[in-house]
This record gives sequence, structure tokens and C-alpha cells, in this order.
Amino acid sequence: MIPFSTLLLRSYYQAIGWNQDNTYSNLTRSSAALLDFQIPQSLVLQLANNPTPIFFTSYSLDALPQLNGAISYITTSEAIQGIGPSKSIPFRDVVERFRIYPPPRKPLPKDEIWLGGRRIEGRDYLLYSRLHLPSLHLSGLAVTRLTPTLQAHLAFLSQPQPRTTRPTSPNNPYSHSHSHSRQPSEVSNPVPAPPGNVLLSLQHDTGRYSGEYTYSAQDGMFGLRGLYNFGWKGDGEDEEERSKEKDKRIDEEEMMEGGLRGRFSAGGEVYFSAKQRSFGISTGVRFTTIPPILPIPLHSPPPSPPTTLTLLYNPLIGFISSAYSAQISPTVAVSSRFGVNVYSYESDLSIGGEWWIGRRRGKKHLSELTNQLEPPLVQDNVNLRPNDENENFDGHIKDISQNRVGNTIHEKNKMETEDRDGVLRARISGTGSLAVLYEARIKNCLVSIGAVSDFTSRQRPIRSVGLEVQYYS
Amino acid sequence: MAISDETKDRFNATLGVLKTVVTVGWIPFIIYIGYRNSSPQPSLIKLITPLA
Repeated sequence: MIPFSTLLLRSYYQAIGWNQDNTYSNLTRSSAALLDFQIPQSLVLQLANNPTPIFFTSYSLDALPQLNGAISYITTSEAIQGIGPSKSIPFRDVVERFRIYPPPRKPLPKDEIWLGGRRIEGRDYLLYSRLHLPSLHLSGLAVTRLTPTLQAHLAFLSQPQPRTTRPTSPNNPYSHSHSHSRQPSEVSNPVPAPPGNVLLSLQHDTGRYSGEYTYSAQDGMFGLRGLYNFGWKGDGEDEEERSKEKDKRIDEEEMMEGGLRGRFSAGGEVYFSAKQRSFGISTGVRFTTIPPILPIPLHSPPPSPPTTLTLLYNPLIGFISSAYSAQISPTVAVSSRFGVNVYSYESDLSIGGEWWIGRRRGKKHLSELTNQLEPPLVQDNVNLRPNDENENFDGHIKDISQNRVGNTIHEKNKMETEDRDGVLRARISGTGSLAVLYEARIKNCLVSIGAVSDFTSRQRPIRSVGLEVQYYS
Repeated sequence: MAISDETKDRFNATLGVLKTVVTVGWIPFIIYIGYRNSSPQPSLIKLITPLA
């Protein structure tokens, strides 16, 4: 289950039209949803509420091994509609899942609002705070959009001063800006707390390429990430393809196309820290299929099954990781990943998958939804007619009926899959560990139950079990 | 030009105060921004506790 704050951040990005997928850090997002899913660590309860569409609060309680709590306050500039009560929130939005992300677009500026000769639409922002109890750690995040294509993040983690600190010496190079960070001379607490830190990040997205520039104050680490999308034709891409399809004559010979149709992205990452004298680099390529444009044209080849392939290479440590993920049926997606170190020949293979089960509302409401769909489709039929007056009338009718059938079938399929209220995930890795996670909407709560087991160990075959319950009121 | 120890100390003290202000004021600031920009404005207790 996605944590509430992450869900909110995603909904905020969606509301302002920021494409989170077009960054190098999210290059392996599709396969990670199937291979790196998190099992709840213990017994976690989360309660969230949105008193107004721009303000959100949440409590979370972590019961084992010791009782910890956290309280979060979040506010945004944009009203977020997608987060409703957990009874009715679309289940597909609250879980990490395999999906094909749409082609990148250039982010659009905010709509102008004028009042009394001045623009009053303001700037997009999100402010987040989380106070951990009883340790009183505070984590905060401020996100704002500086220009339509540039976004700034400031994240901080503050740790309250321990009561028994020694006075820091003025010669300590860390003391001037990191007096809150953990010093080696400090008396150590029984539970080591994360040191305070400030993270600055700038994200730049133009559609064709995106960049991310980060700085972490605690270790003085700079990071640069870039991603380039090959074959990016701008926002008019879909319309161009559509008009090309339309211009074809009915009896025109179709060039047979085979294989997967998709797009390539390539990116890289460099990070270095002068303070710690460390340096890192990684590069990656991703191929992902293009989601079909609806309605599917009559003469087009069948749409490619949603597939994503990624290849990552770290030249410094010589590690290559390749992942292949595909949706093999409307309810099943699988992924495999193979990583090998070219210097030591150490390798690792992981296989994972998700299976959408449960159909609480899908079947019951399907007939109602289909009935609701009918009138607009008939309307489409009427609207299309004046545009194609010169075409063969029979062909035209056939075309429309095909489109209509295709459309209805697709919508039906879409609803059938999207209305499922449960997903079962499993992954097995080369080291002999098996992880199983079941996420579902039970009554009005979002529940996830998971376990990690280890075949190789006789003493502890089950390494961890966790249960998480979320309730959005 | 080398920075004197006194300037350093003053800088550190200012930074410390600033940090305290940010950490203490961050949550009230968020609640205030959320309260100010909401329309209609809910009661403050609703914003502060999710159980209300």
C-alpha cells in the first residue's frame, strides 16, 4: 500500500500536470512495483482525513516492536480530488502496480486568472510535515513550481537536541552548519536516530529531456541526473498519428508491422561528495511500449502488450542489471530481473508478479456502467459524420461501428480490471527468499498483509510478517 | 579576508535560532496556510486532529 504522503504527492503532481515518470530516478518504476514491493514491517495503523480539499492530516501508529506514532499535516495550493474515503477511493491508485506510463509531455503553465488587472492564480506548492512521536523528529518537505518546467524541492529532517551534549568545539568543521547533526563525540542513545539533514533538489522537465539536480547538506553530496526521450515529437504526436491513419484510403495496402512498438529513453546519474571523497555514476536505458490511442483505428495492427525493458549499468563497480516486465493478461503482470557483476561474476535473479483478484464491485456494476456508456458513443457517431462526407459511406459506417465495438469492449475490459479490489503479489529471488503480499479493500479499510520467508534457513523459515491497515475518512 | 571567531560564533548562533524557529514553527505554519486558503474555512480543531 502506498503511504498516504506518497499518495498525496502523486495526486498533487497529477493535479498540477507534472510528470513524475519522466525522471531518471523513476526509470525502473514498472519493474520495481513487481520486484521491490515493500512488506509491512510490523503492525501499522494509519488514519487519514481531509477536512478541506487542500488540507490533509494523518495519524499513523506502528505497534511492534515498540509503540511509535507519527502525525502529518499537509497542505497544497491545488485542490486534490482523487483522495476520498477509503470506501470509494479507486483501489488501483492506492497500490504500487505495474503500468505503462504515457509518453512524456511538456508541462503546461498554470491557467491564468485575472482579478482587477492582476494575475492571482499564484504559485503551485505543497507543504508537508511529519512529527514522529515520542522521538519528536520532524521531517518536512516544501515543493514549489518555479517556472512551468522547473520545480524545486526542499526537504529537511530535524532531530531534537539530545539533552546531554558536549559543547561542540569551534574547530569542528561540521559545527557551523550542522550543529544538529550527530557528532561522534555525542553520548549515544540506545536507538540511533537519523541525523538531521537538508536536501535541496531542482527538477527540470521539458518533455524531450529531464534533469534533476540534488544537494544533500549532511554529506555535501551533489547529484546530477538526466533522462532523454528518443523520438519525442512534442505534444502533437498523437494527433499527427491519428490524422495519418485517417488519410489512408480504405483499400490501401497495409504495411505489416510486427513486434513491439514503443519508445526509448536513456539516462545517467553522477553524484559526488567533496566532503566524503566519494563518487558514483550509473547509466540506464529503458524501452517501453506505447499505450494504444483510443479508439483503436480499424486498420492498425493489434496493440502491443504492455511491456517494459530496462538495462542499468554502473561502470564503477561493473554491475549490470536488466529487467523485463510485461502484462500477460488483463489481470496478471510478471517481471524478471537479472543482475550480474562483470568483475566478480556475482549474480542475482529475481522473479515477481502481480495478480489482480477479487471483484467486489466490478461485476455488479458492469451492466449499469455499460448502459451509461451507450449514449455518448451514439453521440460520437453523429459528431463524426460531417468530417468524413467525401468518404465511401459504407466504409464509413463500418468504420464507426468497428470503433464503437472496439471502444465498448475496451471500456468494459478497463472497468473489469480497474474495479478489482485486491491484488496478490509474490517475488522470489536467487538467494532463496520468497515474499508474498496481499493488498485488498476489506470493509472500508485498505489492508495489506505480507510475509517474507527464507528457504535456506531451517531455524527461521519465516523472516518477517506484517500487517498494515489504512483508513481514510 | 579571514573570518574572525566572533563572526563565526554569531553566525552559528543566528543559524541555531533560525533552525529552532523553522522546526518549531513549521507545523503551525502549514496549519495556518491550510486554514487561510480553505474556503469555507473549517474550525481549527478539525485541521489539527484527524479524529475530529
